[in-house]
Amino acid sequence: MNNFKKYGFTFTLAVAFHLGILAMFGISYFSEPEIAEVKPLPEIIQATVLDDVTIMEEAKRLKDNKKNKEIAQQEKQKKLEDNRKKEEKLLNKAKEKRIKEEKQAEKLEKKRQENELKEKKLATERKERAIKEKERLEQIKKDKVKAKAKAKKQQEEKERLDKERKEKKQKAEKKRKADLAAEQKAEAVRKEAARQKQEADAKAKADQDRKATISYSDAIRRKVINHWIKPPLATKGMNCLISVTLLPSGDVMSATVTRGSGDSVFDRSAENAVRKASPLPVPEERELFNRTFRSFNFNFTPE
Amino acid sequence: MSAFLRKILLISLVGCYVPASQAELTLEITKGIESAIPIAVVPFGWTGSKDRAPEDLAPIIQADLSRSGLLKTLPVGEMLTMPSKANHVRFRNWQALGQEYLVIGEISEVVDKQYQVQFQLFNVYRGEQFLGYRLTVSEKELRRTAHHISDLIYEKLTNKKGVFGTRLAYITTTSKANKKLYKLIIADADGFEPRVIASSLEPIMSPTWSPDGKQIAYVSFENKRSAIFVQTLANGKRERVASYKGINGAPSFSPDGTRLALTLSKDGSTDIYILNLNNRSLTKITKSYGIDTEPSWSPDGKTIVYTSDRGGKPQLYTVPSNGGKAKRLTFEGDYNARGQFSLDGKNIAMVHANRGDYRIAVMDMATRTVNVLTAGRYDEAPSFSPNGEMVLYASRKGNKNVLSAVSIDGRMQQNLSFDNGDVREPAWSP
Repeated sequence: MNNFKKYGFTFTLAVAFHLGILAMFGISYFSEPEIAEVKPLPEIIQATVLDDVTIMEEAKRLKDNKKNKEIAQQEKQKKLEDNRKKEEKLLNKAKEKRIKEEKQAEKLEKKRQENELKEKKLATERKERAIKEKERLEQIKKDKVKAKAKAKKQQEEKERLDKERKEKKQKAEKKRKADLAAEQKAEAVRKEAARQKQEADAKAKADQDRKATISYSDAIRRKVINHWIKPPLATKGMNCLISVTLLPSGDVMSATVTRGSGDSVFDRSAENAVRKASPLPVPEERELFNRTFRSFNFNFTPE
Repeated sequence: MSAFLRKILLISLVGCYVPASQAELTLEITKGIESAIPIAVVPFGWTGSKDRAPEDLAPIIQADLSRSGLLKTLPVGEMLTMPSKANHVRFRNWQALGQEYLVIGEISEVVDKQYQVQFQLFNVYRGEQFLGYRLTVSEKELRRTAHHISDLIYEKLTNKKGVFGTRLAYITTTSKANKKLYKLIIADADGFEPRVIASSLEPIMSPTWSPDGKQIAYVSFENKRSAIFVQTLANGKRERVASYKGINGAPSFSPDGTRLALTLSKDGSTDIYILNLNNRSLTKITKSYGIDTEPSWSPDGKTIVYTSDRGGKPQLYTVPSNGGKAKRLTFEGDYNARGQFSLDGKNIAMVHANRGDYRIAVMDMATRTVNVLTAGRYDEAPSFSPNGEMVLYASRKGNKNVLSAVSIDGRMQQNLSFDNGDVREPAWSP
């Protein structure tokens, strides 16, 4: 196919050329003088009933016909003669033309051969060119394929890199998240530990404070009991609430009856007991003192 | 929100948190000490023409307050300072001595035998004056003024009526050359200033005060037989109101002072009578074959409590003062006698004996429970103090009879020393 494609054009040209030659011979054959056979046409008499006029006309026409036939014969002779002369003339002319044409053909043949040579050369060239072109095309094609492959490769590489990058990024992100989570977890653990420690410390402190509060409360109570001269008529159910304010030294700064028993002697005995017991034993630790012992209440209620 | 606002919010949150975190501490005090209240009575200051005041009031007041049992006075020797003016008082000194109260005073001569007495009572721990008075008195009123001051202090500190200004009537017996001398004496409640209002070689018995404190009724055997006299203290005048055949004994003034309940045996049996002092009419209100004696009026005048042995042994009974059915009151012990209503009618004091020991007891009229107050063997003649807090009675100490007083709850007991012989049958003035 490739060969056809490559030499198709030259081949076609050659075929056309030969066909042209053949055609010229054909024309010469057909131009040979025609020997025509002219045969007299049989006369056909038609018997018809005619009227007088018609007969007359017929008689005349028949008479004319005979004459016409003689003329026609002559004319025909002449014409034949003419034709023969004409034909001869034409034949000569054709003879000339054929020689001319033969010369021309010779020339043409020569030219054709030259052309053919040329053509051949051209064809070769063309073929070479075609081959080259083909090679070039193939090269291009190859290059294209190569480029395509390269591009594909590049694309793949790019994709791979993208993928890698993406994966790397994802991995990094994952790691970052994991790290963050770990850190957060660690932070939470640290915080929880700190909170627990704080809680434990607070609990320990609260425990200590509670114990201290109880112990100081007992000591305060003992001291006040030892100073309270309970009135002889103090009876069970009597109740006197005294609110006190102390200095950090335990000295009673104020003692006020906030809810009396209704018996002024009883209330006064309670108030005096608190004042007499001053200074009260209070914790040195300022925070506990401030929170619990700076101000508190006594409830005097006989058993 | 700006940092500033945040800070304020934080502060306010913290501010809310702290007080809400803890309820205020309340310490219960259910016990105290059994003690008298410490009080210092500083010797009174003196300004006058003489070196010393005619009477030192401080010792009188100290003795009064101490005798009450509720207060205890600081001995003068223990005092660090002796201020007589308020601006010289240093409360810390008295706090250091554990004194709850402080009394200072001054006596100044106004004119001859006329004095201005002023005193102040301080609450030592509060550091403030509690009471203050200024009085103008004559020389012979100084002692009574001291008792009056004692009453004012006592009333202020105990919410109870003071009885230091009251008096006692009692009988003393002295022996001289095989003869006994009986005296009816009236003295201040502290036993000072005794005044003999009647004396006799024959027994004098059963003195009793009129409700207004102006008269005393008593039994005297001065005519070798018993008779009841009513004597007015102001002028010494006396009147014989009952001198019937047989026993005339145990007079008792009605609360309105118009009648006298007494014991008579003029009709054979010993019964309780009511004598109308205005018209001398006599009403017999008990009728029994036993001995009914020692009547005493309820404060509303409607009931008489008395002693009767109609049940075999002496027990207390009650009867309406206008006569009626007698009701036995005491069932505990084999001897209950000499019943006397307290001024508020809530208690009856009596001599209560069980297995030979005679003691002073008080019956709570609401519950009818009998509370024995004394532990002697021969305690007798109980008499309520006007404030109803104490019961005065006679008791044997060695071979002498002395006067004693006990609080009605039995917790406090004191002896009143009189060095003038046997003392019996005390009666506390209204």
